[in-house]
Amino acid sequence: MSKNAQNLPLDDDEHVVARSDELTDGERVIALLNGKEIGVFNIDGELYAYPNWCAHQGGPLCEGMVSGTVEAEHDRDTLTTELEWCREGEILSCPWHGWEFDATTGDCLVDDGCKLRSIPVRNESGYVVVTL
Amino acid sequence: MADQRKRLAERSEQARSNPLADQLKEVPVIDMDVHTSFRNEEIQRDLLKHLDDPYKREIEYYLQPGTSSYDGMYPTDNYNRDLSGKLPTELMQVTEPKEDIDDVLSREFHVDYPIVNMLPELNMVRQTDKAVALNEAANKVLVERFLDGHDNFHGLASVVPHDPSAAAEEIDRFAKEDQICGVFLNSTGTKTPLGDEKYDPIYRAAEDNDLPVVFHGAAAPGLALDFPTLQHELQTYMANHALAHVYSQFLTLTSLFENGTPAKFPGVDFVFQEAGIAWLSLIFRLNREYKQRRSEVPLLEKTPEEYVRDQFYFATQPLDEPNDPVMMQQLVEMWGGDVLMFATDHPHFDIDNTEALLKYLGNFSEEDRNKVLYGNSAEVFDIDVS
Ligand code: FES
Repeated sequence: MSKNAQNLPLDDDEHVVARSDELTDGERVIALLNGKEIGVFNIDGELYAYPNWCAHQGGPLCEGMVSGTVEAEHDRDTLTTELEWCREGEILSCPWHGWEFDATTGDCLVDDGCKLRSIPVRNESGYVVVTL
Repeated sequence: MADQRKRLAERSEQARSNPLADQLKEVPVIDMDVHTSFRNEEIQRDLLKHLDDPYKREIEYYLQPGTSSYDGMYPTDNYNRDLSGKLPTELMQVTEPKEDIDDVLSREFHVDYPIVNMLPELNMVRQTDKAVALNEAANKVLVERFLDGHDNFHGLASVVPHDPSAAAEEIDRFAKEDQICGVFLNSTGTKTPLGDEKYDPIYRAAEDNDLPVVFHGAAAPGLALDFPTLQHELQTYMANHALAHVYSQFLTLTSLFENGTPAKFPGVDFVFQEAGIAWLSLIFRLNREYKQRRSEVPLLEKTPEEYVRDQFYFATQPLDEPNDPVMMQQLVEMWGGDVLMFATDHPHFDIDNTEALLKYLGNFSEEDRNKVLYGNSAEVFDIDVS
């Protein structure tokens, strides 16, 4: 158990990164924990945390835009393609070269080898707690 | 309104200290492709000091809020270049040499010596007189705003292709500036390919002033003229941007060989930016064509590849991305210390991190690695890194 400013009973590898009412739906914080930057996102009331590091060229991934993306369906009979703007609020784009990541799973949309490492995060007694 | 961010998204200090970064600590890195945000209001206002009417009046008009034209002074296309904000074309606005170039590039990408170009993209300005006037003003802003007082900075003086004799005069004028280290041409929108003999005054002036000529590939205005299908029939900026740089560099490089330009001006170094290096396979094709059809290009005294290894240089940026990184390593090793020069392309979205290049240089001797990181640029642009 470690002492922390909020007087929560936390293990040594657990860290408070924000008050829960600060990290509301659609918000993010980037916290420096043990020398590593961690991005924590609230997407539709769920919390997600990932290292702030992009496997492409090392960019600060978690600072990128969170928006949606486009998916397409091709109908072989009519030979038409339908485009759909989807996943609004769930797709994180790296600010250096725009690689897209699904912020709810960590999957990289352009390179299967680059799935983000999910870091455990939860709400506890009004605080957002990350476990490293 | 385009996305005009003040700052690049930067890494934390912790992320910046890593084993690749450690290897770069003692190496003086030269970045040979750094841009300014030419259309930024601050830079446009600087231009006014160096312009007379009617062009001064024209810029003044377009700088007022609420003017009626869609794109003001500089025509463009309607691609969703910024991907609705996901990936702005300019990752930040570059108007200040220290804060926007030196600080960012040294902190983030280990750069010690930036070589700055204004990237005015004036090739498609209709009137010759106006293009020449705007271009000269841009060069003056380069010297005054970005070079004066910043000793580790160097700059490329732009020329426009409209009037090659005027371009030669511009080269003579700006070669006198200590920190001007090369001549800059955009490879798109030149109407006539850049090796054509009508441009010989440019190459002769470069040779007389001992300056290299730098060709910048770009998805710039004028692509529609050089490659109409590319600009009008392709659907996306993904396709347009994939081809714009290599197409324009393909054309430029080939044109230089068909006209024998490197043979006419053996003292000139020819430098290519912003198309990566995978396209250099063209050189092998040119070898073959030369060997089969030498009598069509009798000025050439040796294979294109031999000229390339003597007189030509290529920016590594944007690093090509074979799925197997070993293939990229092989590509880099193919050209290696002979012709490659590191560049970031700051502040554009295909910016490269020095650390990303370093990953591919594992098999290089220290000497060859250093040539890519600074040695070739130091020699060609005559930069003292000691
Ligand atoms: S560093 Fe993230 S996309 Fe390149």
